[in-house]
Amino acid sequence: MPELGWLFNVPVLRFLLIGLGYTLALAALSITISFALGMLLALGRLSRFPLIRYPATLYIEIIRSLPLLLIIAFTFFGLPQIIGVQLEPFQAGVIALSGFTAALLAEIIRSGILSVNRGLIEAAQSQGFTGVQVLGLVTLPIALRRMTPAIVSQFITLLKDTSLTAIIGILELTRRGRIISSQPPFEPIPVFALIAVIYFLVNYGLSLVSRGLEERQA
Amino acid sequence: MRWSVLTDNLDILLQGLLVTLQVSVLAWLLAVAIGVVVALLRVTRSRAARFLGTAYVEFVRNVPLLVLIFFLFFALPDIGITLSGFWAGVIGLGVYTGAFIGEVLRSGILGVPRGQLEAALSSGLTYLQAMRLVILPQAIRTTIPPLGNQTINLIKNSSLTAAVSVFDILGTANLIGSRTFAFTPVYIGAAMLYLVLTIPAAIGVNAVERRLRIGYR
Repeated sequence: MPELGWLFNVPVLRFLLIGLGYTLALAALSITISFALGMLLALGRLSRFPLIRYPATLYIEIIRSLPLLLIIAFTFFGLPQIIGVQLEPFQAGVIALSGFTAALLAEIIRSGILSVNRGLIEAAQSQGFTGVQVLGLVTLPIALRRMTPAIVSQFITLLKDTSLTAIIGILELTRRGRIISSQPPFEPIPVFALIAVIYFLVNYGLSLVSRGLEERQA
Repeated sequence: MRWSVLTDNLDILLQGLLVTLQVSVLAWLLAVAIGVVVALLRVTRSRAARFLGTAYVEFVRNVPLLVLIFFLFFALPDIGITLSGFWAGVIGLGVYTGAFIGEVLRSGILGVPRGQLEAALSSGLTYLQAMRLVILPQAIRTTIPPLGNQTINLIKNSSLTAAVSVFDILGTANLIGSRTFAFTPVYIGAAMLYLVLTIPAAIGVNAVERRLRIGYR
């Protein structure tokens, strides 16, 4: 058994845990933004008006078909050339992760909305509810409850995806693992094993929560 | 914007497309092989085998692919196994996607009525024969659409090999971008190349899905 005191000491572990903090912050911020954006995209794709429906559909289908790493690189290196504003790596990371995840969440939200019994919607309409009221009081509450497990597993995917922001220099968990592993005593195996275990514990915990939610609904 | 950067570098971008295809095909073969083994482990009666299969799936699915690839590329040389970026990418992608394909195949296998396995066993087939001749052919049929989606994910994820200095589509785009600073046109060009691969694949998956649905009616 090799000596691992250099890894399991307070400064190194604190360095890595701050990275986990960045990872969680990136994921939490991006899931919040992408939920709002995904909701708009889903409603847009379900809209009666072609001028709203087509752009929303196009956005969802194209973004879903591209690699996230490309979107991250584009947001950090390419987007500033278009908008003329230099982005901090963290800002670029949140924009890219949110824009990408929004397209995936939009499809989850859309299928959730479509799964709501048509009769319920008609019943609400026949009671004189307006379109917005039907959506806010009937369709979305039912749809949201059904989508919760899928949204949690999307959050797990997003948490893993935050590791890709390491390539634009965000000091999240994976990047910090690389830094520790390339310093004396140059032993990457225990470092990456520890990083993997940290991700596993967080994500497996979340997946247990998701399963619990599914069972409660069943 | 200097779009000429795309035509000037078309040859190496297409070279990158070829590398993306190579990584994807090799990783897909590995992923399917792993997926079949994992799915079989998870449906056998042996508790040890089931535990092994479940542990593999749960671990790999909950760890970022980039961490797996970094482990293969940066850590394995420490124990004397030096992989090129290309092979670290292929193996990492295969190991990762294998867990997802294993889950897809498992639900396909469980979708075949239990009575069929019993019938096959009682007519004298061994467990492996029953799987190979009776259960798997049916399971594969119902799993083609989700398998297609995993394949599309694999193609997209193959871009992570760029992080271990493979010149696939994204790696080549990064290179051209850092040489010319024409990041915007180069990444848009790279996006087009990915769309050329993923959109027909998605249309194909949808078509097969519709076909199969009709077949079951």
